[in-house]
Amino acid sequence: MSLLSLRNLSVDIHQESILQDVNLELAAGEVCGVIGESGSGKSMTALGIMGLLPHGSRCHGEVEFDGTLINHLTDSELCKIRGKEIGMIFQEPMTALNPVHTIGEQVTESILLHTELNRSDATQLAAETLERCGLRRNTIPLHRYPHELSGGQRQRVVIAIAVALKPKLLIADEPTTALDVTTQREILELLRELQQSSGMTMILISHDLAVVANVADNVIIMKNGNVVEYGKTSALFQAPQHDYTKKLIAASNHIPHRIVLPWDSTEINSAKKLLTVSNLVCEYPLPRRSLFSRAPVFRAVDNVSFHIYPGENVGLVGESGCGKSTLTRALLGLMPVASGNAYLEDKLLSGEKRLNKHTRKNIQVVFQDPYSSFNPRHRVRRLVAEPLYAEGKSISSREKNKRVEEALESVGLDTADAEKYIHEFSGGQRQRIAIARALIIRPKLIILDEAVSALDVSIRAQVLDLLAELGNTLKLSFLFISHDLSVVKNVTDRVLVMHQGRIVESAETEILFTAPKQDYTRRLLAAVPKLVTQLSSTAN
Amino acid sequence: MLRYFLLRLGSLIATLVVASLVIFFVLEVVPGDPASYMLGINASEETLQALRQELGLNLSPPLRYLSWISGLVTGDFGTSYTYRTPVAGMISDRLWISLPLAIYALLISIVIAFPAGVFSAARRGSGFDTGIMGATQLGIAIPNFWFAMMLVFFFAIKLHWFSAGGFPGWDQGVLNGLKSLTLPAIALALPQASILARVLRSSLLDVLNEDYLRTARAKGLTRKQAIIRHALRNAMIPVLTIIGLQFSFLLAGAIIIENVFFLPGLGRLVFQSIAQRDLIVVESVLMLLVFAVVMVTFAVDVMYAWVDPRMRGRRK
Repeated sequence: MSLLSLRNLSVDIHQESILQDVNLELAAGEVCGVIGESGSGKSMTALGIMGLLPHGSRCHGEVEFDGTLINHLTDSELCKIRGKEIGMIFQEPMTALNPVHTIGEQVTESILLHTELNRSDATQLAAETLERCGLRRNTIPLHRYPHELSGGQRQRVVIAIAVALKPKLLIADEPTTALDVTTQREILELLRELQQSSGMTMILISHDLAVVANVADNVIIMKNGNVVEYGKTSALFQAPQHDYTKKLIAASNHIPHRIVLPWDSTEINSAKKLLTVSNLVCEYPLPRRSLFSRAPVFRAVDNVSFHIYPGENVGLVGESGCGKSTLTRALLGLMPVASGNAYLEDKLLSGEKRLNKHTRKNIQVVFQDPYSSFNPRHRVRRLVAEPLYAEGKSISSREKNKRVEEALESVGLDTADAEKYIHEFSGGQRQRIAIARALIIRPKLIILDEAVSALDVSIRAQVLDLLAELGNTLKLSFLFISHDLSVVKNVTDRVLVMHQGRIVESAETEILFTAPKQDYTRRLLAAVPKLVTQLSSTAN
Repeated sequence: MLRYFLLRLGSLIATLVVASLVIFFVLEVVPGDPASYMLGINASEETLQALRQELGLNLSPPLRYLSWISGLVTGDFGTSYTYRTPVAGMISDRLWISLPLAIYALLISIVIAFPAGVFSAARRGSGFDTGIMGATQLGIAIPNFWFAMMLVFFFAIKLHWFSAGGFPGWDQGVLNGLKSLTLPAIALALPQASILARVLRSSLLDVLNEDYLRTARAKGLTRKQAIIRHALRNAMIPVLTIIGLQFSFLLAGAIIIENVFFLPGLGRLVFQSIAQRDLIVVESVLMLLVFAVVMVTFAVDVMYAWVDPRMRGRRK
């Protein structure tokens, strides 16, 4: 008998249909992966099962859990099931925990809520659960607050809350999306281990096909609130039936067409370097220990040297906190440099208090979140035209409009889009606008700071194609900063691996991915969930 | 935590020193000689000199500052130029009215604002919410002296539940004292409660969208439990700020209400002293108010750290 059945589950919010007739049978002990891009309704399905749909939504159909139709229960009856029978893990470990309660309190709370245990027994159980989730009591005591923990550790606390009472069903909604690859691997292993040791049924929701392929027994693919395909993981990935599934699989391993630099030729080695960074050091002051002592510093970027040739794509990878962002900020002149220097062609980039406009114009940036990096109250025309101030001379408004329109066309948008506001665009279009903004003053180097990380796989493929095309036609160099190694592998000529503020390895992409020299690089590469190896291993 | 506490305490003392300097030197440059004001225009130069000598007015400013400060610290606030009585006594009499009145008004404001703010946030968009928001708008808009007069009209003149004004003194019994402070406290609390309820509501609404509220619900907490256990404490920071500001305001800013109800409070004392060039009283009361404001701010800072562990700084 199945533990969970969804029968024609439909959800609409304010008359807008979010889910349409979702059917799902989940056997006890099964791990079911749910894959879909944003807006596909995968999180809504989870919230529908939990009875936690947002205000103003209406739910039709049946959710049968363990023999009970739970979507017809009152909220107080559902409260007895949530947290006890069904546990849930969320995407953002940074915000999923209450900042003003200790981690012990937060785990203990759900135990006290659903059992007759007294406080000290509940605390004991909470401590055991946290240990089971990999947080040792002697290193991470119960009285720690969430802000004293790293992202991975916080996610372990969230998992501990969800599994403390050994629920029959665990719903994990993008549990590793916000985490580094190595942490992602640890968390996925933990989930798998908890699931197997207690025979728990699990729903794993993710946009990342490789993550799901490595964990799930069965997979459903969702699109626009519909289930488009359902099947055993290995069968589905090897022989996808539906076009959309095929498209997703292709897009997640997309390699854009790019003119690869002739690496073995001697002329590239004698070519003039575009960016030269030598012994760059950036430091942050830490809080003073006493009133009169000098503030100690944290060295975020430690003696970093590298260079980029014209037309070259260089990847910069590393886990969060490794100094990637500080390095970017230093190159952009947004952060003071303690020592060392960086030259763009022969002009000094850093070290000066203010970058001169002419130098600045040659280096542009595209950030991760295309929505929050735009002022929502300006029209696209103004947003895209913004960098033109760095031209250093006044530009007539006709010229300005012309260049905005050119930039928009070059990223595949319409000139009429210039009159719109940023909220009228989808995520992929917003990122195109960000690229147009970077292109408008014809830079030589564009820094892509996790620029495609927040995008769905199919959109990501399109944006990568666009970048490759622009690189080819405009002879641009890219510094491609990402935590996603599979993307870096497909779009770069050379990769720098950064760890604790230093560049620990630097090699041509091909060589780095096939024969890494450093232990750290090997660990990083091993942690990347791979769709291809999964498929070949299940085929055997 | 101790480090945080000591740092706050240090900045508190620094603030007091700076404030005392500013108050002293600003009042120094205010035109008008207290001695000639006290003796009238016909006073002879010798008499004026003698009085200045007596009041210490002919000392150099730094010396006068020092003697003023050392007096403040030991509780000797000097002698009023106008009434020839110790300033300390005048202030303490007034303080015994103003301080209870401020606390009373603040309590009423909190008792009204918390349920109003919490319920309207929890039932956002409902009739209750709309009603409360409308009422708080009115509460802010209505001038509180007019509201005070209405209170007097209904509860004192029509219903005879309270006296229309004046203060019998605490020696007539605590209950009698409180009774006579009730109407002024309500009049003072009305706009404060309205502001507080709105701040609490919007702060709660922000917190209700947080991910950890969803986590709390997924644990199996009911909506009510989730709000009380997880939202309220996180929504407290802006509310504490407002409460601190309101207390400081209520202590000295009640002058209009004090006038409506004939209460001899601090607000009226300052007003009269300024009118009579009784600079030493003005200086002392101002210093006292600064002290109160700084202490309240300090208390609020300590409460921030109590509410939000992230403000306590790093654990060793």
